[in-house]
Amino acid sequence: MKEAMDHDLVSELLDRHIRGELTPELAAEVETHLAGCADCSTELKALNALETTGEPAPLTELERAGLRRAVLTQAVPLPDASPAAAATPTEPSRAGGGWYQFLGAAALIAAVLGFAYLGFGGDTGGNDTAATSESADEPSLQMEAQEEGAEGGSSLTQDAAAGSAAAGRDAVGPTFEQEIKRYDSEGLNRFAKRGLSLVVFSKTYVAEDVSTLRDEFVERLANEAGGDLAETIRTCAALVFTQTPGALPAYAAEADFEPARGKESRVLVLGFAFTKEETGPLARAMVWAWPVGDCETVLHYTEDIIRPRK
Amino acid sequence: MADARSDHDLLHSFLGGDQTTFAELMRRHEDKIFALAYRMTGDRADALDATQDAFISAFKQAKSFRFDSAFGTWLYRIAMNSCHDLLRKRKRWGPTSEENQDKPDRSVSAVDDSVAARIDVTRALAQLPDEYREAVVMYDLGGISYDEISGITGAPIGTVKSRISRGRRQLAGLLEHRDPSSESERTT
Repeated sequence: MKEAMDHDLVSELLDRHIRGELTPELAAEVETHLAGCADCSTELKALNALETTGEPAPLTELERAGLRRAVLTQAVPLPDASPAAAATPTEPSRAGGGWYQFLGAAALIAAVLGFAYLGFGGDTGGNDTAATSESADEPSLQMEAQEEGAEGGSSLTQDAAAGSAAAGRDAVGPTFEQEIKRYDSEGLNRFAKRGLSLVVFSKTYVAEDVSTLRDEFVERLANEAGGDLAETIRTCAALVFTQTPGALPAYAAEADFEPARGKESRVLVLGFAFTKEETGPLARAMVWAWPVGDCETVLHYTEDIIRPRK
Repeated sequence: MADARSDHDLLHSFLGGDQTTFAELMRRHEDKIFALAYRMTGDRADALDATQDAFISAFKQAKSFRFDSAFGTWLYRIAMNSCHDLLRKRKRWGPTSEENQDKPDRSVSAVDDSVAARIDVTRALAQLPDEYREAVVMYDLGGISYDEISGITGAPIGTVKSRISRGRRQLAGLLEHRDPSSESERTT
């Protein structure tokens, strides 16, 4: 007579048994054991119940992008909040619950500019790079229309900006640039801030404009970019809008990004002015960068308040 | 194009200065970590919180990884800790946000019955002792091997097997207590 199957062995085989993965002989031995073992029968009931739980719905693209952003901007500890940051409360965005975090404006600037995440002082291809400590000490929350020592790109002085704004809102629309320079993280951030001319943009449009102009601005940027980049602009912008409906695209650029020596990629940079309010100025800005064609991988993100230079 | 490098190679690259490789590591593991967190917490928002916390911890603690185990195993351990921390903070013994939305009515339809059954199992899992819940979630729901669970929890394999067995029995007891009239046993 066959020896009764070991109790511990049956417990180990139960999950395969309910999935029908055992040979007929082994399954029969398990059934024989179950008929006489209350503990194993009870375990089988639990396994059958667990079968009902099923798989959770997979992560959505929005959730993945939010995770990446929340994680990949954590490289530098947050500094103490500046008075400006205290004056402008951070508004957590709940795309899927309390997990979706916006860093305080002052903290984020210091975090991104002092950021080792996207580069460790590798070859910047001739781009100007301020010292990390200088950037980390930057106290101001201002995104300035006039950039000191700007290299390439287009930038507007305050006077020119005022003139453009006075000329009409159409004169200050979204802009696209094709950059051929190579940037590291800090260089990319400086390039984005320079090229955005966000002060002018934010003075030209308000929250009420977003619903009517948002899609048009995306299309203008996509049409100007053309090719594969156009689709990336549309897709990545749509992802941003899902999280921040009050965002108006101000700027797009394709640039060479070199986060570490020898590793380059072409990236899409998108800049937005936005607000969480239904009315009023677009007083905040955000800049994103993704590999061209891949809106799932957030390579760079920064958020700031926009304050005109005094 | 998919990055063909191993997890260890990506992590070496990350520690060497190429922090974009962490995004690739996230891409590889975020679904499994999220599924694990969801099964541990029973709530999508909590699972997202725990997943985020786990990856942030891994990002910051990457220097402490000793390359003597699989990266995924190390990440699971961090994720388990994140889940425990979150559940302690939430002190969740009552209905989750999803359960409140579902509001199952057992008398209505088969669809509602399956939702009710899922919620019952989720609640019952939440009432198991941490080490039993971990073991059952990882082995029976996550398909993680005894070896790997042993590596994640630090418990010997024999202890892991025992926890799984006892966890299942406690779970069955809790489910019977909720609805003694339900016949959940399936013939195989």
